[in-house]
Amino acid sequence: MASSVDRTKGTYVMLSGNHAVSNAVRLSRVQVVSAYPITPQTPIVEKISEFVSSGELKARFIPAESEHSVLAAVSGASSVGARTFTATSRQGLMYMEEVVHWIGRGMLPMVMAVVDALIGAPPDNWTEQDSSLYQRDTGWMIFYCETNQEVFDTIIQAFRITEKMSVPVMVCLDGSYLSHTSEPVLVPDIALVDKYLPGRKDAIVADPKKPHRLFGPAMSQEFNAKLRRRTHEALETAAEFRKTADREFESIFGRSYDDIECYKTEDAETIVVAMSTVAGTSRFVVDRLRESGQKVGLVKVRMFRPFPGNRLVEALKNAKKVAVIDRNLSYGHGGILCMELKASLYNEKKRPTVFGYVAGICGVPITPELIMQIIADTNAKETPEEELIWMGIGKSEKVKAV
Amino acid sequence: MENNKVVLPDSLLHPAYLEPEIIARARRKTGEWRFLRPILRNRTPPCSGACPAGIDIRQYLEFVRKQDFGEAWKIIELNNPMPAITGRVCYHPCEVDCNRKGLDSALNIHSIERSVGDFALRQSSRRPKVKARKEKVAIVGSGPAGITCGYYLSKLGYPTTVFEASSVAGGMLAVGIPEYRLPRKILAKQIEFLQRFGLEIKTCMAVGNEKGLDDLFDQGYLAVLLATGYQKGRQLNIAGENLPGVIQGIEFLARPATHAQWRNKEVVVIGGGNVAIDSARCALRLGARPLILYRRSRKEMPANEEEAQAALDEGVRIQFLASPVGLKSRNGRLVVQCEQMELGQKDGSGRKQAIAAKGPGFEVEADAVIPAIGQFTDAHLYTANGIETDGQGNVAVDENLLTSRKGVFAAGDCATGPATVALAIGSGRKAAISIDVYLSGKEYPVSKTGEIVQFEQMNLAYFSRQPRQEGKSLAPSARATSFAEVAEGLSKAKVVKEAGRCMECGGCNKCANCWLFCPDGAVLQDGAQLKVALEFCKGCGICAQECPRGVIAMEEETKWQVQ
Amino acid sequence: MRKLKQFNTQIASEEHISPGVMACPGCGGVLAMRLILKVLGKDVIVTTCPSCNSGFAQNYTVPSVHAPFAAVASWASGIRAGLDMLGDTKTTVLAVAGDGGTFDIGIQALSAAIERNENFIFVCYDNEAYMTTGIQRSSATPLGAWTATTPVANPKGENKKRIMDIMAAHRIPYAASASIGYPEDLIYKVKRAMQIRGTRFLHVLSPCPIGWRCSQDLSVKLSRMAVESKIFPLFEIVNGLRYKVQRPQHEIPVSEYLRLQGRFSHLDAKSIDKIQHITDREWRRLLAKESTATIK
Repeated sequence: MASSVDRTKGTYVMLSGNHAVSNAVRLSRVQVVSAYPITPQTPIVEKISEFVSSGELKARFIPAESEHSVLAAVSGASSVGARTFTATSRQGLMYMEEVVHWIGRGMLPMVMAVVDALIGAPPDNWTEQDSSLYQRDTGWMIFYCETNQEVFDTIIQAFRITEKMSVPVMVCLDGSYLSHTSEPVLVPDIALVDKYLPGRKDAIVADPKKPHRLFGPAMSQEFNAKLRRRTHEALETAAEFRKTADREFESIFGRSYDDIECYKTEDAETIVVAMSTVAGTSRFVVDRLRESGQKVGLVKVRMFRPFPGNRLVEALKNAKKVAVIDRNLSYGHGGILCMELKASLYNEKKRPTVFGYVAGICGVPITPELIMQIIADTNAKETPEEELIWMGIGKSEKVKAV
Repeated sequence: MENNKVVLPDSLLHPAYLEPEIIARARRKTGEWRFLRPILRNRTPPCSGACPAGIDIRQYLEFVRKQDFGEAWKIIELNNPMPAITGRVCYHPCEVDCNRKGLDSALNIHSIERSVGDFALRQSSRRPKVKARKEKVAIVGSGPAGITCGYYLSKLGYPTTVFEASSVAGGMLAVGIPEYRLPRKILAKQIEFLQRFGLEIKTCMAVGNEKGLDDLFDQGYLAVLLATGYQKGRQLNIAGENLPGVIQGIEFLARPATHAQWRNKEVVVIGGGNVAIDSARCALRLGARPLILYRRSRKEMPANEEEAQAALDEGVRIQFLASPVGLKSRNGRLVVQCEQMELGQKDGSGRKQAIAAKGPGFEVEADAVIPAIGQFTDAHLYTANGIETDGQGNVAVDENLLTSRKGVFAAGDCATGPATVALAIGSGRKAAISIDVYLSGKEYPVSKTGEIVQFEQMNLAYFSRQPRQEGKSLAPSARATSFAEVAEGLSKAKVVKEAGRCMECGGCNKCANCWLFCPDGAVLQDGAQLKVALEFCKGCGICAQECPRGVIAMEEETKWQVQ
Repeated sequence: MRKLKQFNTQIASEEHISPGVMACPGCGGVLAMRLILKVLGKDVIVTTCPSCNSGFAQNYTVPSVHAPFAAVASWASGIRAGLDMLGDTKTTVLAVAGDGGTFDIGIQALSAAIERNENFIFVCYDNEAYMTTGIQRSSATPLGAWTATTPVANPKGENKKRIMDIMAAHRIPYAASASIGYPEDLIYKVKRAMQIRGTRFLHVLSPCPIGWRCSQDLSVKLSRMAVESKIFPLFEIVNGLRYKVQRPQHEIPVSEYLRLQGRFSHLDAKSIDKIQHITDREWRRLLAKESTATIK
């Protein structure tokens, strides 16, 4: 089936991660876009504005006055059945927060690109995944991308999923490392994208011909709780549908992505677990260490919500040790991926020892050397001395309580 | 292409899917919150409440607004068969009580009534078919009470005969009310009109004082109505009262034309009532110079205010606080000796009493003197026929106008005491009902007297000020030489416009304010009616507050009342 | 069937709020919405935000979407954009907010939407405080009023925010104040708004018997009296410049309006004089705007 498709219809273009997003939005024929300027996301909407202005994308661009209004505006458009998109970063995502919950719980189809960067104070533009990971409880589907091609492809897949499942999808890319770094991206012919995205056919939109009421206050506690269960179950079902959507995508475009990706893990004794560009660097390190005979592997987590816990348990069951690299932090606890992974493993009889490393926050580079240090640290110890191991920023002189 | 292993029921797709359930729950019965309940009911407007004949004024004005004078006449005719008369001579208490006067000025109801009455008189008076009955009824007296009763009885099919002692039919309408207020042509037409159901009026037929009623029963009449009125003028009880040149007002008014010799003469009228005013104005028209002597002040005068003003406009002089104490003849003229009066404490009627002032009296010379201090009824007819009278000499009647003698009824002034034409008409109609009940053996109809809508109960936000339409009247200078009708009446356009000023107090005219303003959409348009959906009405009371005409009341829900 | 009289015949008999609505007895807000929806008809999408209207909307028979508090104007912008992109330019988009969602938390989004001249109608049903949450002061609460956060000992010491001036400063295509006490005028203004493109703003005074501490049956009467006392004048502004002010047929002093409401019952004669003074001054200013608005 896949071979019948002409995958050559397309062009390789050097694109930054941001412009990969813009082009995916253009090819997806998004109808309503709203955004507010914020570094490092801004080039996405600048490019989209150009597309709208030139007519390459027939859409309405709403230059709203704040991120809160941005998400409300795209929600409004989505609630009547339009294909909608927005993009944001760090503080902007925080300012949107209320609406992120509102439409996650309310299940409105839409795609949002989040260019990961740190949250103030103090403010800055360097990469860090805190802001997007804090959205893990909002009812959105969340993906982390490793390359600009993956960014491009995930945006298109996201529209397929969101419009079929009525679950909003967040596609995250690391600030600077992807957003402002150009890579060759195969931009397919728009006809192929049209074939992949049939358009919205939601049963439930605000329509004067079939009046429904969307997102009204709860009628009763129990009724509202049922709605919550539905939101949760819809996320799980959306994860199932993602596989279908990926098979369809592969048949047309020849590329495929999974919830998680296992790299050289079959016989690995130590496995690195990472997301986004950290996974790319880790892959390089795994190859180097394999050359020196170390049984090291990599598990890349691509879909963070719904959390692929069972897949991870299966992928890690034969490893002795796992090193989780978190470019994020839940203050007072630890790396968020690490916490979630540990929770998934807890009920397993045979489970690896998990080492949690927090590295690269506030844009500190995660170099191959740093990852090698992490693996060396994991291999050197029987069990982690601390729940949270800081890497790359030296030793801490802990403040003592008076 | 679609590998739909994942088939989702729509119910899993979206929180809004349960909409039908939401709607069902949303239709909660909010009527359960209510502790006050709106009641929509028509109430009596003050005009009808004040009308002695009880005409449904609000309703006939509605037809006048639609220019349907035929239907308007039908409404009036239910209570009053002679609006052409009452529209002219009634002192219109309806206008005195009209709520509109609180906003701008009272509605000109009498002019509208007159217009409808004149319209009815212009219609062909073919005799309509009525189911004939055999019980004969006799009516003594052809005044407004008698002919009204006769009209309704003949309409019901009773062969009815009116016996009139005088040579003209109409009683006081013919011999008491001056022509300039009621042209005789109109009266004649009206009487002719009333006879179209077969009413017979026999003039110059006095019912004999002795055994008069026995004779009537012997002639086969099964019921007799006494409607003899107040026909005699009250004596002054002062010296010289029977001197030549002294004539009772009531007698003068019956034949004013016979006093043409009063031209340029001084005529003194004694009294402050309507007969005194009418007498003075008639004398003026004969060319005399009338002077009214009244013992109290203008404020206490019992005469109708408008008529008194008209008299003054025409040049009639009134000397207040003057009480005649004697009459004498001097040099071929009459001299009225008067006492100067002053006002004292209020008496039983609420008016200030006139008491003789210290100091000398005065004299007024005149060529003629007209005492007009009131009338009385001749009680002899009643007592001689075994009918009881009350303390004032009136026929004693019960609430249904039955006298002490079986089959004999009484209506009009002789039963009620001296009153107005409208009251006589109301009384005559009531007598017709009583006689019908008596003769047919049916039940008395239940009388409906509703609560009267007060001005405060009207919502003035829905009414704008509009000037009252006034008819023209003859210039005062022209009146002095002519008995022509003073009031000209209103044009049809003005009548319709004036009827539009009616605020329809207490009557639901389907303005639908209640529907419009109900926050809960709980007032429904059920065909032509408005009704409250109590299932959803929360009892806020906005409908009652915003009803322009006081139709809606809020009543406490019985479920909250302690049993 | 006999026709209902006067202008009432011109009002659609169809209801778009099914009975049994979650509003307190005598609610002015739900009455305003009932009348407005009658004019707009079926072809409408309503977007609403936290307010008593959230409750009423349960009974709307037209589609409604509940937006977050601060963002109803933005949500409406999106609905309009979505409909336009889907080829539906006919359906009216109506945003509804209370005074809080308009004067306070919602004003940023509203201001931006007007600046972009988004094509929808925004209705502020103004009950002059946060009533849903239990009568707390908003910037729409009038001077001198009691609320749960402005106790009698320290009633609201600031004037009501002049929202219409803010609208005018945006040069909004159409803004009008309306009142449930003048339904024919309210209906005219909704109809007029429907015929204009761009952002349209309707400011509707909607008495709340609970929050105003007044009798339940007075909502319409007080709306009328607010106009007659010139506390809430009825006027239209076209393009933010051309004013048309309706002179009340019958004028009353503010004291008559204030004395029917318990929220003002603590005011002494001096305070009432002050309110009268401010009301008169603002009325003169309004008339001045009307007369000087012809500058090209």
